[in-house]
Amino acid sequence: MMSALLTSNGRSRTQLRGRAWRRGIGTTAIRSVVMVALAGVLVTLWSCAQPLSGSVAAERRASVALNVGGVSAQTIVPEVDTQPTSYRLIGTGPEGDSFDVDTADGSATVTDLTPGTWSVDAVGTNNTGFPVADGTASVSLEAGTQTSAAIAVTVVDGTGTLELSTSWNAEHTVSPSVEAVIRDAEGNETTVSVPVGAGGAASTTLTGVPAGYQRLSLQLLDEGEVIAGAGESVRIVADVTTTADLPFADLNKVGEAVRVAAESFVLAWDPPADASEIELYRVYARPRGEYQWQSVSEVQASDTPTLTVTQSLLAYGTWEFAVTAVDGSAESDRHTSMDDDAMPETGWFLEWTAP
Amino acid sequence: MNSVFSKRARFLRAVARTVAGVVAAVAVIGFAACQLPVDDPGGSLEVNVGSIDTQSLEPDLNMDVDSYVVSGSGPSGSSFERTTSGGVIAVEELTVGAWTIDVVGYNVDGIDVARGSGETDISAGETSQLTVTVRPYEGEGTLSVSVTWPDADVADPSVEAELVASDGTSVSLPFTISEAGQASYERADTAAGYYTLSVQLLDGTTPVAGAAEAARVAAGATTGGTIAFNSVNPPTGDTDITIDPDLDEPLEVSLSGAVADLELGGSMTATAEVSNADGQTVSFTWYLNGAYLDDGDTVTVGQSLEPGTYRLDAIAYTADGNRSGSASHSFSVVE
Repeated sequence: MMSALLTSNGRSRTQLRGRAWRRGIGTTAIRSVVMVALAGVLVTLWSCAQPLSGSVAAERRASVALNVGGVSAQTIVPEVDTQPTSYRLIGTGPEGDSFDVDTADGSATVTDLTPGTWSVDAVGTNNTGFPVADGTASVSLEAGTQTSAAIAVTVVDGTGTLELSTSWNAEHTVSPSVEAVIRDAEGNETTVSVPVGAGGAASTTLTGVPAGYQRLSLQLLDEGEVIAGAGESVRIVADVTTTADLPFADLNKVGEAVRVAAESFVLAWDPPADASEIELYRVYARPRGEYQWQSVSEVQASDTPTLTVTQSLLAYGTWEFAVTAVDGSAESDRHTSMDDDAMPETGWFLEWTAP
Repeated sequence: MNSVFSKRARFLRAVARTVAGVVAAVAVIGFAACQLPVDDPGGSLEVNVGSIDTQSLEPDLNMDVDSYVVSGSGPSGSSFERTTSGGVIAVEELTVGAWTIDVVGYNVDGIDVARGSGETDISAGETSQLTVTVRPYEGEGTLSVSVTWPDADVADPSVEAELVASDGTSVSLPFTISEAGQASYERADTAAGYYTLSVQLLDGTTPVAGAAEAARVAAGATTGGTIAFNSVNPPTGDTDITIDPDLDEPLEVSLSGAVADLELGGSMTATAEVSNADGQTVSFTWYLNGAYLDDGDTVTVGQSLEPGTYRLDAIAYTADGNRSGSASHSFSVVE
């Protein structure tokens, strides 16, 4: 789809696909690279309906396609229905007497019981017969009287299982890791390093989690920096598995560092498919961690646009780059080296030092 | 309990009828004039003596009349004496005039247990009839009653008893538990007569057995007996059980005040609410991209955030920690 064009001091010119480039990061071969290509974001930009309109040109936002703005209540609960649909009442009384009755509405009258102290256990089961609530009450019965007893029924105590998983676009991360912190109501914390699998996924299964509500915070890190995260209330039910799947659609990418030790380097980028109206490209740069773009240079439109960057244009440092297409007074949005459709998709920035 | 009392009432009525029927024996005496003068045909006397039914609680003195001695005292010192086992006796050739007739009943041991008297006028040539009511002697006797039951079957035993006289007056009898499975009552100054004795054995406050007996107290005698409850009705109780579910339903959390896009350097204040706290105190903890942010109902966020995407989560907990819930808001910080 697009190419990254790299040369070394203009003496050689190497065209690498994004993935090939990515494999070379951090190696001796990469250090010899002195020219960085901007990935073919322009293809996407140029496909816009109004790529060069004034309004587009005036838009200075580095917008990211996000699924944002949604507010949702999302307490994570197990799939099992925790509502009792029937109760079993088991009474144990004096002299080994007992009773065992079922009730659907949570009330029952039991007659002809031996006077004395009775212990009544209530077990609530859901629509599949799974026990979800229980309680016990002690009732002192007197002969010839009818005694009322209320049994406070709460969720079954015990431990359950938490299946925790997350996923993200693996192309947008360099060295991902996932950490989860589970905190109970008393504030006791358990930190879990969630194993990362292939294809941008991580999952783990935690057993022996106390029944109740746990605060789960999950963070996706890339090269040690948090790039996405979530906090959830998770309900654990005894002997039940609760599944918490928290995919991260949007990441605050860290990007790959491209290290260049040379007096100059060449930036290259792919023009859009229909570049007939483009007069020139403007190249911008900004120090990594800052927000203001500074214009580096303008490049006349061509089939293989490039810009050789020397210290007369830019000082040594750590830079992010962006490029726009210009037609008259209209200028497109910036496409940056950290965009999701950069090459590589992880995004990148340049660590430029003297040779 | 109602059924027990109903049975008791029926029993008392039956006993009362029986007592009324045996209050007294009667002697019917037929008199005939003596043939003292030839022209004086004299009179005659017929005496009819009945029987007394055996009662459940009888005095140790045999009150069954085995024989009656009928004696008469008439004009001018005239008299007679007859012995009969009952029925009608006839005395002939009595002097005309007023006679006093005494009837004394003796048991088989020859002990007088009842007496009665009557007066009649004897006319010449006629047979007079006199009915004499013979009653037990008045006075006081001893009533001694014991109640027994299977000790193991009654956890908290007590005995309630009532003695009802034939005239309807009643008195409670204070039974004393003398040993395991037994209670007793005794009183030496009980007026002679017929009574209805009702007894109830209770376990706690519940009657578990009961009986009613007709009792006869005789002057100078002891009426005793034992009412044995060989089996008792186990007392029972009932219970109404109501389930009070407290199932720690998840809290329903909602957020307000949050925006979808936040300009770089700007901020927003989000507020969390719970709609189903049911009066419980709720606290909130805020997370930003999975990292703890703050506690409280509201949180202000954004001013120091770099451009990017963020997820703001509010996790609610009740004070007891038993209920929780969360809500999430995703937003972006844009340049």
